[in-house]
Amino acid sequence: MTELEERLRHDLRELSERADAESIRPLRVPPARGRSRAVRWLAPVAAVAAVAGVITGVSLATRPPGPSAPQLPSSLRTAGRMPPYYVAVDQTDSSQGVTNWAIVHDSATGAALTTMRLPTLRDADGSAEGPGITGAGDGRTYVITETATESAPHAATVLGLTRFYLLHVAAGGRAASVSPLPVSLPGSLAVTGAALSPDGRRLALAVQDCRKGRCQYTGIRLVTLATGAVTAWTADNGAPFDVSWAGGGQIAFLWQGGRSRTGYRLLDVAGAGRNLLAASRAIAGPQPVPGDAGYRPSALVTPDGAVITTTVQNVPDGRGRVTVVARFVALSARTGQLLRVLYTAAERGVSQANEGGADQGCNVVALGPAGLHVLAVCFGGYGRLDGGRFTPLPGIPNPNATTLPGPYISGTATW
Amino acid sequence: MAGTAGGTDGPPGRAGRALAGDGTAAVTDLFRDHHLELVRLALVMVGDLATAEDVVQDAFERLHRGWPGLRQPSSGLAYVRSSVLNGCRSVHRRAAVARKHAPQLAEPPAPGGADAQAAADDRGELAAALRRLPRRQREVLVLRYYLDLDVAEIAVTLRIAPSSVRAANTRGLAALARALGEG
Repeated sequence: MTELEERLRHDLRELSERADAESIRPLRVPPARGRSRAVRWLAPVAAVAAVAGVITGVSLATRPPGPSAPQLPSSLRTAGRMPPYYVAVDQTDSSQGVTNWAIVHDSATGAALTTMRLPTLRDADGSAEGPGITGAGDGRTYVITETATESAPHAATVLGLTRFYLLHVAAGGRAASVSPLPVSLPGSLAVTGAALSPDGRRLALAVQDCRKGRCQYTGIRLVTLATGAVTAWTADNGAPFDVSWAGGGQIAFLWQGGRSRTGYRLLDVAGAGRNLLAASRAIAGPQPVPGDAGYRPSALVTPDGAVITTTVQNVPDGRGRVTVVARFVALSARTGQLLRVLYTAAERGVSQANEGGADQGCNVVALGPAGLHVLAVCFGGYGRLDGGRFTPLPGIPNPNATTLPGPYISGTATW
Repeated sequence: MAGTAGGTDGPPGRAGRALAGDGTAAVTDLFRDHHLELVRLALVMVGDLATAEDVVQDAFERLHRGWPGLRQPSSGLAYVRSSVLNGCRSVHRRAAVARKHAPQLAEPPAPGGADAQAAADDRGELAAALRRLPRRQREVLVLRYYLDLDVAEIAVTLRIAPSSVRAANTRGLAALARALGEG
């Protein structure tokens, strides 16, 4: 046995001994057979390994709506149409390898209408990153991304290949087709976000080229799907995330550029200039909690550009398990003022997140065309948020609700 | 290890007891005898004790639920061990989903930065490097050098060919050596 093998054996043994018989939780008694599976005898891994969404959170000190609180813009007070379908993309892992899937669900009932296998990129090890998806909001037109990456030993280098596919859902939602799109990116460019325009013709991509411990290049690329033509806005000392279309040909994004420069911005794609910061303007958004390294929750701008939908919540501090309260809120994009609390969720017994998995909170995933319907993930389950209610929806990432072959599910979804 | 590890799963008679009922007694025996070992396996894989405990408990739930359909009740340990590894994969995949749904810093912390150093202090430099390996290499190395399984046992546990185990073992060790500056 080599020195490295000896060291591996020793270090793993030492690491594992952090768990001892006195400290780990004891067996809990299973319920009698035949009882509802809702009464489970053991804490489901989904409850602790829930989709993080919010790596940290933002302060709960956002001002509550008082008598003088502004009203929602008129465009949002009118009833908006809920997209008829949402599409979840997912990945299963079996002895035959990983497989990507798309499932078309009825938005009202959550019923799975169509399940289809997707092309799957694999890296040299046979594993795959899993697909991503963005939709036009019409319940018919979606773009699916899939990436294979190869990490260098020190994890500062990520080389990848991203492919793009057009997913078209037929009327009734019971049939769908997938075709490759003529979009080509350099292998060193990582796609960190994608947003399909409401007309389904343009794709906004947040991209990064990070190698050797620093990012040589970041920016937003706008791809015309019919031709593959690309317009690029570039930046340095930071990177865009959370791209979404905000109406009037504007792209909203979170600029993560250090504490003083981080914030939400609007890019007018018809404007002059290709410097991302110079060509965009700052808008209001949720504020980070002091001391949490500047992370912010996901936030999406309504199609009229007036309202930001996001979450605020407390964050476990690593000292045991706590109750987390998360609120979905609508903020004014102009002033940052709280317009309305859309829904409040609470979860007991949440532990601190770590890189390996556990997560504890709620997050916005997609907005309906008028912003009145929110696809959200909350403490491990997806759901639809509208009318002040959270309606759980099947699909992902709850492994017990899967309609796919194979037991372990994760993924994402969009209207 | 289905079919190969039955003789080492527990004291004689437990498998026979399992056949008699819905498996509760046998699962309880397995839990008592192997809970700590499996939590430690999960801890090595995911790096967080609370998550490791939940992964293992969920694996035991799956075992209990699937007991009536288990072809060889004597292979319960192999079944639950595979289930724990699957659960750890699921945790890693959910973490990837979390990253998809959350803003991230543009530049990851440098390997020698404060965050990386803290992680190294906490978990050990080698263990941190292990966690950055591709999934299959990581699992093979943990099963080989933590659980001391041989190639055939690893192949059965991961449901891959013995040649794939050997290849992943070699590549994983080489990658670790590079990560630690020894290669």
